[in-house]
Amino acid sequence: MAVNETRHRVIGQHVLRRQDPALLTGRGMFIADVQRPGTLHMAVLRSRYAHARIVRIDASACGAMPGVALTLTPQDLAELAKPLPVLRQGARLKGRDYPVLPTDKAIYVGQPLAAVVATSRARAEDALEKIVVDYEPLPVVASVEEALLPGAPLIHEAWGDNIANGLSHETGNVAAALAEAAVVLTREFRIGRVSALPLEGRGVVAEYDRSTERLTVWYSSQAPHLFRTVLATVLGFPEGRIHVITRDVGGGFGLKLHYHAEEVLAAVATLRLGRPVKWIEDRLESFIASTQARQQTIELTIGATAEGRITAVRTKILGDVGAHVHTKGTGPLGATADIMTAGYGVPNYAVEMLGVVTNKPPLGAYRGFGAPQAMLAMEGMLDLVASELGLDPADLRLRNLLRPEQLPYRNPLGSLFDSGNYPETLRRALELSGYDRWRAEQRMRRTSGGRLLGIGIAFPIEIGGQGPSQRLRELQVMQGGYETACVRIDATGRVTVSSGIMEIGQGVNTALAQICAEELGVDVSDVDVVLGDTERTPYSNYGTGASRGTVTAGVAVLEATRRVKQKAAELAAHLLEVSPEDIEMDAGRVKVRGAAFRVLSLGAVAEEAYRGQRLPAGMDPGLEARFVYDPSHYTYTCAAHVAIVEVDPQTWKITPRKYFIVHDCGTVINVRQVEGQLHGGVVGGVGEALLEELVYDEKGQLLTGTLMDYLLPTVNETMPIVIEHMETPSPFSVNGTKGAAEGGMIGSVGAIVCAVADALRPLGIEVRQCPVSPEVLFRLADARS
Amino acid sequence: MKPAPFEYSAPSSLDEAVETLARHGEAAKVLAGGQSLVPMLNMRLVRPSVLVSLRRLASLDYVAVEDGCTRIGSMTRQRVVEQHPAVRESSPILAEALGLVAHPAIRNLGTIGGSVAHADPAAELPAVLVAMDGTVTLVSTRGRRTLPASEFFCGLMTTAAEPDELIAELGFHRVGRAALASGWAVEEVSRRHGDFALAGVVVALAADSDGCLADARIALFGVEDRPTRRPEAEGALRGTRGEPPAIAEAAALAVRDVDALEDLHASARLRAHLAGVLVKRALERASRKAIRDG
Repeated sequence: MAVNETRHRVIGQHVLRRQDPALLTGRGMFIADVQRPGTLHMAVLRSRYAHARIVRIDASACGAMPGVALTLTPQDLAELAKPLPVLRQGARLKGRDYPVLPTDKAIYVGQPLAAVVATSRARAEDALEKIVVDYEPLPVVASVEEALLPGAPLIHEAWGDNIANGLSHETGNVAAALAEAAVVLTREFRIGRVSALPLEGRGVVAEYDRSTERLTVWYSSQAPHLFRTVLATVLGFPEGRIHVITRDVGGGFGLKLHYHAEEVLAAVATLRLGRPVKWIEDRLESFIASTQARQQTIELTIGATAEGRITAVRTKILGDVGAHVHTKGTGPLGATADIMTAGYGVPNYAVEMLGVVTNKPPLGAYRGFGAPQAMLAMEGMLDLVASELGLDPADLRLRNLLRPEQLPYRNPLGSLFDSGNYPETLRRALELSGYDRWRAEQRMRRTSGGRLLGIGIAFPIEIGGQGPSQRLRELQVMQGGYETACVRIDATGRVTVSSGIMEIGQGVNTALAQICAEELGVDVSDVDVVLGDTERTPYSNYGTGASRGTVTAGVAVLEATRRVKQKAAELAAHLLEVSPEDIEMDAGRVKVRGAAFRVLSLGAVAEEAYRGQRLPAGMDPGLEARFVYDPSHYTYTCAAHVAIVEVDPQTWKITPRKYFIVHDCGTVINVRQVEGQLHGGVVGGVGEALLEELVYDEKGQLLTGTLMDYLLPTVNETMPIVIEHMETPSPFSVNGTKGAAEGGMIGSVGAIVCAVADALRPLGIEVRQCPVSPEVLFRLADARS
Repeated sequence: MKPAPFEYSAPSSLDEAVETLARHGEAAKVLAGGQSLVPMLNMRLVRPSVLVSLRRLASLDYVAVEDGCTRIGSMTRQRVVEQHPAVRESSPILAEALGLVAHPAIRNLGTIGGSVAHADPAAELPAVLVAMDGTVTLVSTRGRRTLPASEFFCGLMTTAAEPDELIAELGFHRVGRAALASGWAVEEVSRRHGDFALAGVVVALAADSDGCLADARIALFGVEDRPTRRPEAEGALRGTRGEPPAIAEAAALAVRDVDALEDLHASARLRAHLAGVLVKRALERASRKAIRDG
């Protein structure tokens, strides 16, 4: 069969997302939109205390409340559900699972303690007020610092301390390198606690059919297949009789990779009642009862030569993992340790990481998974080194970025950076942004008074394409990193692609259609994509996350499409009585090379394939293929970010002004979607850098439990974002693609904080934390004067 | 986040509304635009046994301007006031301030009476009312009474309205005599556009034909527990031409002895600092309008 000679008709184009018409006209089907006849509604009683022994839970008054169908307490659950598993483990990790409802003590405010199912949510909430809980308050561990004090109260007594996980590693000889360095700086950086906060919160509708003994669960999730496995295990219910359906997902950002108590409670309730049970997380619950993210304190020591060559980095990472390890373990902390030196070739590197439990909701995944913290610290430190040496911050970075000939490059913790031209990427970003002109304007403003201008640079490296199953095994992640695709040409010639990856707004469904259409030579509108239904898609042990969809499912679709195409060509060659090598496919037609009149439509070939009467010897009827792709390596996207901000030195108000990115994610499948990912990531970075923070008091009570106090960026807080692409294909992914979903956020948190710090450097103020608010700057300035 | 059970009443006349309030007293809560009350109901922070909606009271939805006084019915939506030609003509400061209230979708539902009744110390509208020597007219089965705004706002989310009273009308008065050139400014710092201010100021000035300030009003909001005028600063400005030293002095006087609030987003010290910066900026802008452009 000939290679398709009109390649790249749809790859790399601005193809619109296929769900947009429905979503933009209000026809989306989100979890709250799922209406089943006879639905009951669940509400969850949550701990008022951050740390308290539970002496007694008395729900006996609930039954008499109007509309109440069922009450579930920890005692009820003990026989009905096993604990939920931690999927990302590790040699030193303590805590391999967590109970659906705790039986002995509550360990964070918001932890589920009981549930009521009633005819309406309001009635269920009325009944919750009748449940009596006798708490015996215990001393609260409100911070990592308190948790590590000798004699600190223990959250998990059996552990003997409050340390959930740790990591120590050294590459090279850091002490020796620091002793020889011309400049050695040590600083501490603090990253606040935030929520991934998908605007559509979590939610579940569970329906047990007593006649078929089947359990159907509609669930807003990034990983419906894995949920089915987890639910089957936790409930002891046959997995094959569980059907999980995920329709439109109103944002996931990593949070919807986590398995929480409520989905198990709803399933238990429907199994008991035989009626659909619905639980929709409300906004307050999303703040107090969903996984949280990011909070770390990072101490960094850096050594550099007088020429600005970084010779050593030593770091201590202290992460607040909340009250217990959750689905993703302490994964984000390991990621921070891994990616700390990013694309800078640092020969000597030492890291000490501790994941520490406190009485707050558990730590979870959030776009960037530990990398934004690393960038904030590393890029912040590079700016300080540049200032110390009198070098321009961009120049210092150019002296340290890995050169193309150094790639593939194995970083200190074993990650293998695949390809890219890092210095050129930064040089182009400097050019794109007009960096020198901004520096000139900055100098002018520093003398003229008024608002100060700050310029921040970050060079994020984004791990994508998670991942080789064997590597995941080494990391003790209890999940395979493969992805499966099925491609079927039906008897009328239309194409259906299905995969276990999940569409959560990122547009992977459109990307998969493009990959298939390109390879098969059909119009992209002739390809249907089916995702998010465990009975209609092949299994996935991972789901959508870790910037992996287009890389893993994309290659699986490509390879499955190649196999279907090969079969179609063989059948067409048989029908046309030529050799398969003489067949070419384009525009939905199968042709004999050099004989324009000998043409069959793909539909005609497919019809014969399904009729099965005129097949070549040995060929089975049907026209479909399935391919499982387990990547051999991760992919590493690089980008150069330049952030421009203004700071009013009187009101301390920070205004982002402009943002530039030169981005290299290898082969671009859909330019519009890559840019959409970058826009979203950068806006998320504005929130984390300047606005968002989950603030807890010393009693472990959340002080920012509404969207009036937890400040998400709106369009008013953003700035124009200018993007340019480079395309260095990954040598390790079959189609050259790399991940693109997280880098916008990984780079922007650091770039924006660096820009604020840069603006204030002449005032002698060092900014090394996020979020940076007017209050933070006011205090720093005050301490300085 | 579902409200505790309550009875709902939507009277069709003002008489019926105040009778309902008189009957239930503190157990009742008045629902206007619902932009603050409904979230508090949903979080069960407020648990009235009766909710009295004013949505059918068209008689409370009006804007009337006469003799330098702008009278606005309490159920008039904020967006309607903001865009009303007569308001933009007679009380442009009100239109400017309303532009800083939350977002258009909220102003489309939020009423001016609701904002004043809620009495959030960081809200813009109460500050304009206080700066303009405005009035609040309350009505109950016991009759009508009109209070100066300075007496209406008593403290943190606390007003002089009795449980059986509802707000019928707000009155905004022109600053200075009709013949004077006026200048105004509303300045605030908030974390995001549309958020409640960390600190804010409403300034209104009137200048005579010689360019001397005949009247000056300065009201801080988001700083103390209610919107407050700064009479010393106002007095220091009268008779000046808004020169930089006069403005600097007024700004310093305006924040002397402020008793600033403290919350998650700003310390008392930051609030007081911001108030000083903002008073200066507002006075510069307002005096440019009143004296140099006037």
